[in-house]
Parts: sequence; structure tokens; C-alpha cells
Amino acid sequence: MKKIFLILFIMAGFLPAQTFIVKKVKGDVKAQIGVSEKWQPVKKGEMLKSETTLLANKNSSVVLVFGKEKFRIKNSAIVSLKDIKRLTTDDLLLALAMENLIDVPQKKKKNINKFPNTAVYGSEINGKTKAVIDENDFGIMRLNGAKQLAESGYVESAIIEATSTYRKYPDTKPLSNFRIYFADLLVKKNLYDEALSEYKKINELKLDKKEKSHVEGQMTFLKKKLLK
Amino acid sequence: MKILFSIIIFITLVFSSVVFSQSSFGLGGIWSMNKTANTLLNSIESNPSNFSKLKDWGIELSYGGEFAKTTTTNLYLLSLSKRIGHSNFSLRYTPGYQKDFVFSSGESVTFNDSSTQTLNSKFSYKEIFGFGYSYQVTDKLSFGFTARLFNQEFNNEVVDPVFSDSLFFNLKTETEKADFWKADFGINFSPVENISLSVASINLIDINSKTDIASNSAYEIRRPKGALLGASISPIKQISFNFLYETTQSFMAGIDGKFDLPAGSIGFSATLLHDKYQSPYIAGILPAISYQSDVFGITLSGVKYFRNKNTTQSFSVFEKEGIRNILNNRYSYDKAVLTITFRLNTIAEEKAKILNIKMVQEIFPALEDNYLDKPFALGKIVNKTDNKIRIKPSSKIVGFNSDIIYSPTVLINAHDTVEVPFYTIVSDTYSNKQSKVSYADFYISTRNNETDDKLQKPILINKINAWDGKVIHLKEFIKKDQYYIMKYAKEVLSNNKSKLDTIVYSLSAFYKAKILFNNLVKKFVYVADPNATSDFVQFPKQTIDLRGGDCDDLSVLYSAVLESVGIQTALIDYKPDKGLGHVNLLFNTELSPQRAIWITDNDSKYFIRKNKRGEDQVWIAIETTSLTNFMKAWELGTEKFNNDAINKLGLAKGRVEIIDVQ
Repeated sequence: MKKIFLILFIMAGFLPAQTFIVKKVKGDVKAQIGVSEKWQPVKKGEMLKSETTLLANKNSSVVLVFGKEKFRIKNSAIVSLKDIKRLTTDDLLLALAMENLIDVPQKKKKNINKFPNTAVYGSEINGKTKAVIDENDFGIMRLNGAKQLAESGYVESAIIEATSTYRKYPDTKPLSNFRIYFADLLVKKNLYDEALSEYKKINELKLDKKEKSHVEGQMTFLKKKLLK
Repeated sequence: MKILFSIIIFITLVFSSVVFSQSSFGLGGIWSMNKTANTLLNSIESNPSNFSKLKDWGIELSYGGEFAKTTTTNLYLLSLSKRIGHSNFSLRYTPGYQKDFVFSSGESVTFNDSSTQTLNSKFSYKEIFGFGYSYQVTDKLSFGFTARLFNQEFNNEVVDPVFSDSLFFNLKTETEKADFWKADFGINFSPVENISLSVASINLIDINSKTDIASNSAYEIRRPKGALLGASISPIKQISFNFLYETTQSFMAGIDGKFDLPAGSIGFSATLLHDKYQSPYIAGILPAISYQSDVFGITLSGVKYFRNKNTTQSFSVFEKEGIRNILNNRYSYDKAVLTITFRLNTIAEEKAKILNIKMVQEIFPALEDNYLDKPFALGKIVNKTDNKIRIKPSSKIVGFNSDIIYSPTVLINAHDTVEVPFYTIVSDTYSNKQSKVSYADFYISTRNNETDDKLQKPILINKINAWDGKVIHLKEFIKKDQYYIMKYAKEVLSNNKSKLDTIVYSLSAFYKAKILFNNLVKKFVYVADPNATSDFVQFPKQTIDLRGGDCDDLSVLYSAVLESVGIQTALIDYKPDKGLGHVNLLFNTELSPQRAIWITDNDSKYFIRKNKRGEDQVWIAIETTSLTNFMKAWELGTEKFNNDAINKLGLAKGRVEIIDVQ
């Protein structure tokens, strides 16, 4: 009978949003639902909707089951469950293009100047009191989560999440190891233009010898590819 | 075209069997009918159809001399022309069109004192005046007629015997006079721009108005009927070849040229004439040089005959052939004539014409700036002149513009047609609450204060609150009531001064936005558009006064309020698949991304936008129709933006658009 209802639901187009069931929890795992400000503990057997964001602290992990698939978030990572979905390369390109569309239109480039900050700062009472999670760690945890998405095969979602994290947590931009990891994913998806643009930015960061060699090698490879 | 050729063939057939002398001779030579500046110089003789491209008044005066054994000078011609609409009238007085012949009869009388006197005869031929009328049917076709009054006077000296006590003889002069009118009709046709054709009658109507001749009828001006065929061809713009053929087998062939100067034009003409009754075959040449401006012209012209001037003719030849033309006959001498022309244009010349006006926008009075850089109408304008002209387009919408609104001037090459934009300005005081159909008057002018052409078109002027449904145009509503809104917002913030004073400066934009929402927008009620359409938007003050509105009214108000205190806003246009869309708002907290944590622990509740200086700043979305409180409106705005713009890739797919107000 349940199966019949499910089929009817699917036929009628009323399939509910993706639901994730918490299969296993280890250590400190928290959930933030939708636009809520609160982080609440996650319990085994709990059903989570796709608008939930999960945070697994250091040495902690959570296993989610959805449909026939499993997904594990572990060790200082944050993943928004809406990102656990397969996207096409076209969707990825659109999402990357959107990063520029959201900006305030640049009317005249030559007018872009770095003005000295003349703001007068007061005592930052509210700023100090509201700090719950160090934003730098939060950004790294977002990138960790993106990496775990990629490792589980959600490469497009991972790249989008990483790009978004660089914007929201600008202190993660100099983290060359993450930047190189996600740039390499762009190469794997054959997005050579986008990858070359990203490697050029990475090349301006402080890189160790190995990273420098890798980035320059990738740039040479991409330039040759793009010339063809 | 077929009709014209039929007429030409008919007239040719009727008159071709008769041989006449050259009668189309005029002292100015012949000029192309296409050369408007020289039109007045085409005398009635070579232009029986009275063809003219004169714009208004024309006055012409010709003074010249004849180079016989002694040179005599005379006022040849004084003419007046006037155009009224498509009609052209001309009148000319020709005191110099006169030829006198004095013959000796061979008889003489011996008087008592033994002196003798030879008896003479003097024949005088005069053209007194003429007039013409023509009607321009189209730019290519005109027809008309001319009529001329001639006077002939024959004076013969005779000896009259007087019988008394003794017979004596009295010497006296017997005079006979004969006046006649002759009138001719003609047609001019230009099938293409560089060809003009003409056909006219010669001596078609011949009426003797006063005839008192018995013995001298043989010496009257011969006036046989005929036809005149003319053609002008301009292989290049400046040069024309002209040909006039009379069914007399006489003809004139010439070339003329016109070269434009910065002020006016220089023209030249050289015409060869062949007259059946003159020798050699090419009897003479009529050279002419002319300067013409819009109002003034001066022409030096004349005739040079090639025959030997010392040959004499017997009276019997004169008796047999007579004369057919007062100015040009085998007894004529070389002449030179100076002609001065005045054109008095009291009517502005139409240099450009409006072919069509296409209305491209209705008028939405609230969208003031929209009409400054986007035309509300496009006009197709043609340059009717041979020169590049600069036109000044302007318009006035009846009941909307108090003055004529001038649009940018446009350069148009000779005879080109271009599309010209018409812009308008919305008056600050316009406040009509009802839509209405009005009229827009469109003008084009090439000179100051003179209109070349005008056209009127109906136009819909929407009510002051009308909106065209384009979210980008809501910006115009936001700009209204600036002073009132600024005062209102400052009053609200002033009432919350103590709270704001405790807040760190970096957070002031966020908290100001929060206070303004909670003290203003949240007090209102959501009211759907009464007509369930997107064509009505309230100005910010109206929404405050009415204490309610729909999504666009409330977004406009909240944006206006935030902008009035220096907080940047952007409208979010959620485009519908069908039906009505939705509008809400993003505002700039001016926080850097690192400080976003000061306002939220949830990083999905803000969006990073690079500002014009390339700096990343935190913006948040507000659902203005959520009239609960700021935090709830923020949550709802975030959910909507995340779902439609980000997750569904609405921004990239064009389903969602961010429209910055500044």
C-alpha cells in the first residue's frame, strides 16, 4: 500500500524535498536549519531536510543516508545538505558566472580606486559579544566540507561551494592547498578557461616550491590546450 | 508617362508638316529645368508652360544694348512672379522687346524750293507685356500657359494731292495698327531626377484684339502654329545638356552648369541656335554666366550671330518672309543683357520633411529620466536639398509639456532619409491622476524660429502613478518625494538616537535599516494592487499616507527611506513564468565579509557583492511585504533569494535580476 502511495506521489509530482536520515553520529555534530541562527546537536535517527547545514567538529563525524546513497561529513567540516546533489557542467558554468552577476555593476573601470578608509571606529561591543565561531575556522570547515563533497563525487557542487566560501570567508583565499585542489577539479571537468583564470590568481599567492611547480605546469598545460 | 509621349507625338504629327523659324529664342539662353536657382531666367519664349521652382516672390529686371552701327541701350524686361501653393503666376513688361524697320519707297517729292524728300515707311513691332500661370501637380509634373500682347504699327509716308485754285501736294503719314494676343500651353515632366522633358504649343491661340490694317497685312508678324519639344539631361549633378526642338525644324542646343559656393552658386550656359530663316546653319550662340544666391541673382547674357553683318537684304525678301520673332530674326544684331533677379521669400523653404513618426513609448510621467536618454518617438526625416543640412527636432505634447522640447540636432546628407529620435521632459509639476489620450506635435527646423515641417500624432499619457511593469523603472518612483522621505527617516532615527549611539560605527547601516523597518514599514498593511495588475505604483509619501501597499509600493518606500540616509539598496526583480512577478530588496550593510559574523551566525543569510571600488561588502535581502519585524523580513528575503536566485540559478538564467538604485 505504501509503495502505491509513493508511486502516486511521484506521478503527481508531489515528491517531497530530499530528506536525509542521520545514520551515525560521532563526537560534536551540530545542525543549523534554514535561516535559523542556532546550531543544535544532531542525534542518530533524526530526519533532516535539504535546507539544513551540518557541522562536524574536530574528530567528529556524521553519516547520512538518503535514498540508496550515503554521505559522511567528518573532521572539521561544514556541508549544506542542499549541495549534496549532482549538477551538470552547464549548471556549474552558470553558477560560476553568477559570481560576477551578483556584484554591483562597475560603471567605469578607471574610477576604481583604493580609497583610504576614513571610517571612525567605536568600541566594538556587539562584534565581540556575538562572535561564536571563529570565522577563519568556519571558512576552512566550509572548504573541508566542499572537499568531502568532491571526494564523494559531487564535484560540481564542491567547486561552487569553494568559490562561494572564498567570497564569504576572504581569509581562505590565500590557502593555496585548497585553491590548487579545486582548480585541479576544474581541469578534470575540462573547464580550461576557468581553471587557467584560477591558476593565475593562485600563482600570485605565496606558494612553496612544489605548489609553484604544479601551478606553473598546469598553466602551461592549459595554455597549450586553449591554443588548440 | 504614356499619356505624355502620346501628347508629344500628337503635337509633332499635327505641326511637323509646316516649316517655321526659330521662335523659342530668349535672351537668357536656355537652362536646365532642374536647376532651381536659374529658373527665372527661362524666358516665356523657351518656357511657354511658365514652369518655375520659385518659392514665393520673384522680381527680374533686364537691361541691355544692341550693337548695331550705333549702340542703343534699353530696359528690356521687367517681370514679377509669385507662387501661391502649387500655383505660379508671372507677369512681365517688355519695353525693350521692339524692332523697327525703316524702308525707302523709292519715290520722292520735289517741293517749291526745289528740295526733295524721299518717302519712307516705318514698321514697328513691339511685345508689350505677357503673363503666365502654371500648376505643379506633383514634384515631377506641372503644366501651364502663357499669354503675350503684341503691337504692330505701320507708318507709310504718302503724298496726298489737294485740289484747290491750284494743285498742290500734302505730305502725310498713314498709320495702321494691329494688336494681337497669342497664348500657348505646355507641360513639364521629370520622369527621373536627372531628366526633365517639356512639350508646348507655339502660337496655339492667336487673337487679334485691334486690327486696323488694310494695305499692310502682309507685313504682320508671322504666327504659324507649331510645337516645342524640350529635354534636359544631367549626366552629373553639376552639368546639364539641354535641347529645344521646334516643329519648324529650328532648334537650340546647349549646355549649362551650376557649381555651389558657400553662399549661392555660379552658373554658366552656352546655347547654339539654328534658325530655318537664318544663315549659317548655326546662326549664333547665346552665352550666359550667372551668380545666384537664395535672395539675389545677377546674370550677364547675350547673343552673338555668326552671319556677315554687311550683307543687305532686299525689301522683297522682307515682304516674302516677314519676321516671326521680334528679338531674333535675320535682321537682328548682337545683344548683351544684364539681368538682376530678386527672390523675396516670405515663406520658409521646406528643406526637410517628416515622412513618418513612430511612437516607441507611451508616456509614464513618473519615469522622468527614462525620456531623457530614451526617445519616446522616432521620426523618419528626409533632406530635400542638394546639401548636407543640420536639423533641429522638437516636440510638444499637448497638456503635458508647457514648452517645446528640443532634441539633439542631427546632420543629414543631401537627399538622405534618417531616423531621428525625439526626447521629452516630464514636468515636475505634472500630477494628473487619470490617463488620457493627447496629441504630440513634432517639428523639424533647419533655421532658427522657422519650422520646415510638422506632424501631429496621438499619444497616451498615463496617470502619474502608472508604471510600465519594468522593475528597473521603479527607481524613478524611489527618487520622488526625496525631501519628505529624508525628513521622515531622520525623524525616526532621531527618536532612536540613544540606541544608535551605543552601536559600533561599522554596524550603523545595519541598525539604521532595522530601526527604519521596525518603525515604518512594519506598521503598514499589505494591500494587493486593486486591479491585480502591475500598472500602478505609489510614491513613497503616498504609501506612508495610505499606510499600506503591495510589494512594489513597499519596496519603493523602504528603498527610498534607506537611500535617504545613505544606505545603498538594490531592487530584486523576480520575473514570473506567467502572471505577476515579485519585487523585494537588498541593502548594503557596508560590513566586510569578515564582519558578517557581527550580524549573523548563519552564512546563508548574507551575500557578498563587490562594490564599485572592488571591495567586498555584505548585502542582505529583505522581504518588504513581511510586515512583522525586521528579522522576519530578513529571513523571508533570504529564503526567497537563496531559493530563486542562487539555488535555482535564477540570476544566471535571467529569472532574477538585481537592479541597483544608485
